[in-house]
Amino acid sequence: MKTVKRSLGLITRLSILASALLLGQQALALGTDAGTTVSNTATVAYDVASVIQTPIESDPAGNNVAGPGNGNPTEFLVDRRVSFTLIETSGGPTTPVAPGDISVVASFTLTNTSNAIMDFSLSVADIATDVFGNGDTTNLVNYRIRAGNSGGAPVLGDDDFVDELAEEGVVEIYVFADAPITVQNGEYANIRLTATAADDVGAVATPGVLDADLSEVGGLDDPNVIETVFGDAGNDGFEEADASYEIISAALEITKIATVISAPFGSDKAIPGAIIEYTITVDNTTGSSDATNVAITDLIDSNVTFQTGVYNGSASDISFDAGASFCIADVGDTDTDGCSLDGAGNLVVGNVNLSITVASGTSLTIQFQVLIPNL
Amino acid sequence: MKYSISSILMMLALSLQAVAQEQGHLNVTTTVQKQEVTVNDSGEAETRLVAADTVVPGESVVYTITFQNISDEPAANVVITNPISEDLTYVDGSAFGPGTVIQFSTDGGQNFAAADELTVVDDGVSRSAGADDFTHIRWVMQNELAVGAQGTARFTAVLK
Repeated sequence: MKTVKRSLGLITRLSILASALLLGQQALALGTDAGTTVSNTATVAYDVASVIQTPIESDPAGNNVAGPGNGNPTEFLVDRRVSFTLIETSGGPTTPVAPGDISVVASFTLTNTSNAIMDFSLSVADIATDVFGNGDTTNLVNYRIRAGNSGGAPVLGDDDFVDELAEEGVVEIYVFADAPITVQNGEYANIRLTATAADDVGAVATPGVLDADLSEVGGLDDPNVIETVFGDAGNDGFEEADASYEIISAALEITKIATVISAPFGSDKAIPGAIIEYTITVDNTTGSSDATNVAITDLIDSNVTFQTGVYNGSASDISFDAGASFCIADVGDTDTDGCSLDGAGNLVVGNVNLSITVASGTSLTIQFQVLIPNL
Repeated sequence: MKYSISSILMMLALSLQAVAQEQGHLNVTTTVQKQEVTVNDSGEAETRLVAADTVVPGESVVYTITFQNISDEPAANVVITNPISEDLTYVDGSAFGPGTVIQFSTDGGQNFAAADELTVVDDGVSRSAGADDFTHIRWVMQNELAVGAQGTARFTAVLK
């Protein structure tokens, strides 16, 4: 008969139910952190011939040595599940832009719902497809992507990639662009922002450095290496969001009409002695923005004579909107009424002394007269 | 013969050490695997166990504990106790063990009972315990484990 050493009364029966070892932090809502080792050890207690035996811990390869510490935990490594969202957040269906604007912003929000801290590489491209129902009809230039890694809105000095975004972390991304002066009212420039999950293979934090884009290496399961599984939309490790810049501008149409308002012999022809009235119309009826600081310049042909004092009784040279207001075309605009005519025939209406605005949906006319002189 | 306190303690320590090193009667193994469901040529779903090499949150793993009597005497009152990792949620009804009564604990292994007999107190209100509440599982063999015989216990859990 075997004698069994019974544990002495001074030491209570050791009921080692070896705890499940927990290495690494517990993430909230997004799942156990990648890189966590999950451990499990079972312990078997038993009697032989009515004598209680020392319990035996399990081991992945089998253990038969009784007592605490002789088994080994059965472990597996938690791998990285990539999951994130990218949405356009400009606040309206489009981002309004005027021709010549610099650094206009389309904004996006990226949220990391992976079970690991992650970098994201970013890229932007012009696209030819519709965005928010708007066909792509023009392009902006000088795209610059910036991510608000320090929290808050990004600025031009920020990184162009998302750096070490925490689990459940949210970051704002801006795409800055410039509008060429040539873009037209009512055009749309559509872009696509793409964010790709990136991380160091060993999940080592590398602040300030963009990690390599992640890939799913199928079939090479390694229990000791943190692997990547794509759990994002499309299961492909990248997300896209589109934005549309809408060009909002004045749309000026300029017309100049010449009318013979008097001629010798009752004629209506432009013959010597005839007076021609020019009507210049600045039309902004189809514009979406007011045209401000409008300046109308015209070169009076040297063969005709600019007529002074023909409007407003005999006080003025130029009439606005058929007599709504008037000005005098003096040299150097010394009377500061906004109109000038120099010796070389350069007529200028609208200057530092008179800021002319043609509101969207309206038009402005100016009128002046010239005489075809008798030779 | 009088022994000093320190020598008594040393003898206890040595005997405990001797106990700690002893060859047990059972060989106990725990393995962890994933369930893989494939569709075979007949269009039927087949489930098999594969190595748990890539596990991400939301996936389930299967632990299998085998215990074999490698001694020359039968083992009685065999009880397999398994603490459930905080990173795992036990899958209700998945515990399996032929010839065993399966019990659970919600208080860190102090008390065990059948799953449907356990209650917990939530904000002062008592309710039935659910899989989220279990801290331990144990399998209590109803019969002896004969010489050379092997028993199996198994359960499935989802990685949080």
